[in-house]
Amino acid sequence: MNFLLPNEPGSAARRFFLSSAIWLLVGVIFGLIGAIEMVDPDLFPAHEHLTFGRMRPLHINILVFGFLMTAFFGGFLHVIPAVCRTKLISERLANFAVWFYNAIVVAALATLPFGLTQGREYAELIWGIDIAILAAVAVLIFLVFGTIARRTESLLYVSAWYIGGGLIWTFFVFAVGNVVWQAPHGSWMGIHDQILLWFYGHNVVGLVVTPQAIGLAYYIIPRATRTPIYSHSLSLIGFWMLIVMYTHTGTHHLLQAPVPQWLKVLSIVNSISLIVPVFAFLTNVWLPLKDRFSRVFRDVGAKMVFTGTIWYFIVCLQGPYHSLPSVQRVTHFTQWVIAHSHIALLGFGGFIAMGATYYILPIILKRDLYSRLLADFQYWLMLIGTLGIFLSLTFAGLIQGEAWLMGEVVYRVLPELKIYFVVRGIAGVMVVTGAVLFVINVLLTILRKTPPLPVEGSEAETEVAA
Amino acid sequence: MFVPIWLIFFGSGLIMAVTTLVWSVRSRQFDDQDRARFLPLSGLTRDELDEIPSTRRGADFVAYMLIFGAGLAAFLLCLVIVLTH
Ligand code: HEM
Ligand code: HEM
Repeated sequence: MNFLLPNEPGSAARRFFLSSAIWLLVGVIFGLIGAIEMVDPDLFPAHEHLTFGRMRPLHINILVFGFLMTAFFGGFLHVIPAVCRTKLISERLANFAVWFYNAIVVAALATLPFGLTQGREYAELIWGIDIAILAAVAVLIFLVFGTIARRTESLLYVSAWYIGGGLIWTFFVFAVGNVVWQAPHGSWMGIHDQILLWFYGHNVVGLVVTPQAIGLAYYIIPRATRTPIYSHSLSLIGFWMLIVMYTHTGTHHLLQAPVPQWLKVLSIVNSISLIVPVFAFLTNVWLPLKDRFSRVFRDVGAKMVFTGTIWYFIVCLQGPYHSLPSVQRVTHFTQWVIAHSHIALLGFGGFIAMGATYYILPIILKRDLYSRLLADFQYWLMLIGTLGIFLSLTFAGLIQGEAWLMGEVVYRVLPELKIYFVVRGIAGVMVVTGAVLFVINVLLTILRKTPPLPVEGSEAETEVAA
Repeated sequence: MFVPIWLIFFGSGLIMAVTTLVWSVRSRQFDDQDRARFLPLSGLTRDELDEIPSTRRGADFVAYMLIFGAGLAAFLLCLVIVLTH
């Protein structure tokens, strides 16, 4: 019982972080296989389980639901009690969530390669797994809101708003987007299904990944740099604007499809307005650092989180830009979008997830990281790898877009793209190597038995309130 | 069927959002915003707060410039194609 469901503070967060590192490695290996298959499509001719059509959903689901979500959950279990100045409501229940959630990711791994899928992007998992995810998210909602209810600090810090809101959105967006009341296929009919799917698809990134990553960044950057955010009111305005704007943007994925015009217009207007909450967040964490920029680099975790915010800036300038129909004429259905996806989910979400792991793990364990050098090396591998994926796919996408506009047929453009896919593969190897180092570093940090160091915040509490 | 389900979803979302907003105003979540900024620093000792880490790292700055440069290059290239086709 004590091994399975320990009561030790921080045990669940630690386990979530370890599982996240492992799922990152598994997920990027599938991505790399997919990338090699785009250079050499007959790589595994006799194994249908390893074909591109199976690798792609496996890659995406393991990374979004395995890597990103588990790291975020680990982060919440530490950040929510910290900003609420209380203890987690139940460490045992949190440990139960660790096992339950990981069983769900294993179930994804056991079904997708065998073609057990609902065939809707980001909603591929079969009905039973969808329901299990909802149950797991409900447990996390209970843990987070139960802890918030016990808080001794009356004010809710913006991280708590984003994390609490993000979990509630995850539950509803997932249920609706997966059309869970239509068992077992989990889909609607005709174009309505696509509208629902992309309402979901965009909210997976906008109302699931984004608020969770921002919630963690809002805690880690100020704490690591000892610099409060610029304005708390501005952060709350950003939070409320995200709710108002994000929910209607999904249709910008369907600008070429026969969906109602008003919905397209609404989605484009909201996509552009999203610049406001994005800059509310960036101003808040960047501006106070203008004379203290070097403080970011002291902690490797904080550095990764900060780099995540730089990617976020690029992602969220690119997003409104390619929501414009005249730009999508060139970019839609091309590798440009895959480049955007990777700087978004690897550059922004992934760097914040890895940074949160590196920042929070030593605090929980009360000892240093196993190796700062290894972490720095991983950082550079991942950074150059992400840049490589971004640039190669962007160029490939623009070549596709221009060629198609000139009336060239799809298959005749493919040979032109090969070199870019090779570069993407090489960049992918760097990311995979970085993931190996991540697993080693996280595992050894957890397993190493060294006497506890004086870790920040371990001595008497100091009143820092103004 | 689609429209009623959508309306239920939309309506419940709206009600939850408005209820949360009303709760937050009533429980004075928007007061004392200046203290709220400092909440992530709570629990740090005075020494930890006062220490000034001085790790200036040129390489990291160059990396950020590379990211900005890559993003800018992508925008410009795309813009050229958009405007010329
Ligand atoms: C201001 C914010 C953003 C806007 C306006 C925006 C806009 C868009 C648009 C228009 C597309 C579809 C492009 C096409 O198919 O032609 C797209 C795709 C995508 N975006 Fe964003 N984006 C934003 C931020 C983000 C963020 C923060 C993330 C991740 C955390 C993200 C992740 C993705 C992904 C994964 C796709 C690919 C979806 C697919 O086709 O599979 N985006 N984005
Ligand atoms: C944390 C790391 C990563 C995350 C979160 C991630 C996420 C994603 C997402 C969301 C998509 C769907 C994109 C779309 O439809 O617009 C995707 C596609 C893909 N990713 Fe990744 N990815 C990661 C790393 C990698 C790596 C290292 C590689 C190896 C080169 C890779 C190779 C691919 C390939 C080949 C596809 C399919 C692209 C296509 O359909 O044309 N990914 N990834």
